[in-house]
Amino acid sequence: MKTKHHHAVERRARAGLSALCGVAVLALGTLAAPVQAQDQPLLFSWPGYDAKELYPDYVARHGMFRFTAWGDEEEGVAKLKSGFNADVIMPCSYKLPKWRATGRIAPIDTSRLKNWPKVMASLKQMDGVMVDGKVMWVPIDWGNTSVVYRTDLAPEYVGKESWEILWDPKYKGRVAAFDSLVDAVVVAGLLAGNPDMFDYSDPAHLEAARVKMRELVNQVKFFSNDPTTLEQAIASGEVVAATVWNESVVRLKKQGLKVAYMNPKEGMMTWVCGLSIIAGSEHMDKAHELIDAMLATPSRVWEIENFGYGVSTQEAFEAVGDEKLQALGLSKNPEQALAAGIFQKPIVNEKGLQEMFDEVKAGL
Amino acid sequence: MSAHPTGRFGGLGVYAVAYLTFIYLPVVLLPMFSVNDAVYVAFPLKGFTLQWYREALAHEAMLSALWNSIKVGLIVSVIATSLGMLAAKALTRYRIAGARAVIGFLSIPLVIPLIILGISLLVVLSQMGIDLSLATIVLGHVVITVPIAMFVLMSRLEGFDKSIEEAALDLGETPWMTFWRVTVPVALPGIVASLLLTFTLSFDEFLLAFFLAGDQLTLPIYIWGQLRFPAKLPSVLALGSMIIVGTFVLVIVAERIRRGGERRT
Amino acid sequence: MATTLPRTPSAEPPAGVLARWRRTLWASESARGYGLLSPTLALLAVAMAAPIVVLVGLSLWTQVDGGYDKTLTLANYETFFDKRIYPLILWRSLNISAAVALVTVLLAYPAAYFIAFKVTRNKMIWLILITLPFWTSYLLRVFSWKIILGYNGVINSGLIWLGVITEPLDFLVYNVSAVVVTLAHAWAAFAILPIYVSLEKIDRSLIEAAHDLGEGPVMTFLRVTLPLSLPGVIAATLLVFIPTVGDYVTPKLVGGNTGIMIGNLIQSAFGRGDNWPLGAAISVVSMLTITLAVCVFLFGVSRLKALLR
Repeated sequence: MKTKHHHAVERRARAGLSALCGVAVLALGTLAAPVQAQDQPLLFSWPGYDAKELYPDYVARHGMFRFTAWGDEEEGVAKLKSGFNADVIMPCSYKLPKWRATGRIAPIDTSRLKNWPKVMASLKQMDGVMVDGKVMWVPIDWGNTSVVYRTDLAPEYVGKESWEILWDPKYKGRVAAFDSLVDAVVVAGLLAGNPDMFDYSDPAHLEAARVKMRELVNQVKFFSNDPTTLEQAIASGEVVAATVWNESVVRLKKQGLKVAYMNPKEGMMTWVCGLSIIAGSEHMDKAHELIDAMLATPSRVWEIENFGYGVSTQEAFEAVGDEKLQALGLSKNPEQALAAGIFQKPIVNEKGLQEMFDEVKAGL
Repeated sequence: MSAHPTGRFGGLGVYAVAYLTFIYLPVVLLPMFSVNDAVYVAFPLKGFTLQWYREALAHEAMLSALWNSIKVGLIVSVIATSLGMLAAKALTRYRIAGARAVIGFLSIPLVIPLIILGISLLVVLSQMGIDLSLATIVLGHVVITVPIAMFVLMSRLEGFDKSIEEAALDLGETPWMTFWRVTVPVALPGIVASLLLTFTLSFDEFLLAFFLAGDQLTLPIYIWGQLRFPAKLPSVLALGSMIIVGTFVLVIVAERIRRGGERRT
Repeated sequence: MATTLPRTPSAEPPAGVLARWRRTLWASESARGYGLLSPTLALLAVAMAAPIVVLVGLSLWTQVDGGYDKTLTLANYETFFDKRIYPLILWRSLNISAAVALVTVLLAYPAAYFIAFKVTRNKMIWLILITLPFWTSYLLRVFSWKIILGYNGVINSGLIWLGVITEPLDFLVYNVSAVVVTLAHAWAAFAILPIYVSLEKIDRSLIEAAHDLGEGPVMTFLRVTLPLSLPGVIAATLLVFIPTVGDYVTPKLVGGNTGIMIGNLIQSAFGRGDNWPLGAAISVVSMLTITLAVCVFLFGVSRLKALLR
């Protein structure tokens, strides 16, 4: 029954399949060949931190290091815990105990960091920098978590800035928040009047936060962790207020939107991120050089100007200049700004808080 | 043509077009916003710009992630389809003791949460001292796509007439040639569908790839990371548009070549 | 298929015990089947052994500060059933996935039918056209859905322009139905291709025979086409249903404040909740439940098949 045409089709199909197999074998060959030299340390960090401008000294001396990023810091912890071989990582203050619990963080020899003296004193004194008399983590950058709101849509909050806007019944369904314990859920603890917004070891404090979170869940349009989604919603007017990091506000203003970043009467939050070295790294020297390169002033200046974050050295702030700092919403006196905010700390009973958050989201 | 009363396409044709519209609806918006002169993807459109395309083409890390994804997807689709084909053939051609148990076992990768698969494969690989690379991503993706290939091919091969194969074998064809010249043509639509599906899944998979990636990333991992930087989104849209238009062009060119070949035969 | 020269039937097998043993083995269907299956089974056995051990093992341990208590216990499973949230969300996830599978397969069937029976040339082009949209990142498509369903998105802008509404509708996105729509779109290719594949193999003469016997188009479809395409429909349903139960990204992106699924709970046990043993137990229970749901579905289908006959 088969026609000549049919045979031709089958022949061509077989030829096509053979060709595809051939291409796949060739591609497999390229995977087997190592692409990058293994004599470079691997930096496991936040996305975007592969810009070589952040490590000018290192790149000039050794060329580009290897880099890979996590999408979510928790997944980074899980990957490291499972045995992933990185050399340098970039944890944030509030997650340090979790990173340390993987048992893979090594002490840093600050005598090998010529830029270590430049790090601001208040940051050096933070929990987590020193553990048992050894430096385990070098602060690199910091920023704020607060509420951005549309001044044209919620003008009554101008001059009366407060986290309460997220709970304002007038804006039910028109607010958004981070899908995060440390950037959002702890605010419920703060507004519930808990003595320490980061400590939920007392069931009564957890319950108080739960009541507040139940209200928030009914208030928000959505929870999201990515600045893109949050900014999009503010830009389109879908929400009038949302929790964001400080650099989002700069971008929103640049697009000509009438927005303001709250300095809530309860205080804005401050996060700090830094670098640590993984125990047993085969690149101890280069790992130290990489950290040192990130503390150098040109690197810190580039981060202020391009990411809009605060950084850990005073020198960089002076090098940037008043006008630019003001445009970015950063203070010229970073120590003062740091002192004014609420430092994000590791959460006590994070497990319980997460369970509560899940339950509230499930409507329980 | 079959003697269908409602003409060539009929009401079903209208439905097919509507269905294609549904499938393409989110995709046609991408090119629109990729030339929109604003960082935020929202109406109203601002103005026309090619800036995002310039950025996308200058974005080396993103392009190499794209290239990695294409390589991984291609290899995964070929390996998974081959393995799926062998399994489907065995399960449909022979009456096997414990066939149900085998099918059940082979479908575990479909049911197991990817985060567990990712973490435990990583634990094993690092215990064995194997460095992570694109090859480990391929491994993970083959594991989760094999059952898909198997299901698609089984639905094709079920009820396939054994006697044709037996005839070929009786005629003295080697089993391999029989497979290549008899079974493969019969299974062809299934093979094509399996290749397309396994490629698509691998090309879009994020979580397993994250745990199994070394310093080379695939596109989905890369794009997820870029979400932290809203200013990068438009260039990602531009890349997405280029993928769509590029594949379109590729398909049309291939079709032209095919037709050219057809005329000659 | 007569393009190769006919060869003489293979030579007489060498005598001896070994040869006879090989022949018996070759003759056994099971053995030949397992021979073909061996590469696939070997790969999955090697790759899946660790995950299964980790999964079951972990679920029997308990999380204590900074490590695991390795005495075997069912405590995590008790937690699963004690806390209302886990069974509730698992049930919700199964319902969402079932809805997604139903919608996806129903929408895909006519389209697959069209390609299989109405398109006579360039079927390959149609197949590629169907899969092409899914080669853009999932994330971008989700963003697009938000533009379509969003506050001043395509639908709202269109309706306002037409004067149907004055204020944007805000129930289109960030809820369960948005999750269903987004998933039904995302998995469309996984429904349409298997259905197409099984429709394509149906012998056209059977359909013509039914016509000749005076069966109407509806009866022909119900008695010939549908039963013969069932393997594809089953494959499609399973390929959409099973993976979507564990999805965690879509509810996160378009589910809004309440759209969480079991995948999110597993994710948070392995992440912020920092309780891998509990995460493993949730996974085991949900895997077993999915398996049970699949068995019920397959049983239902076989009953239906018997009814159609």
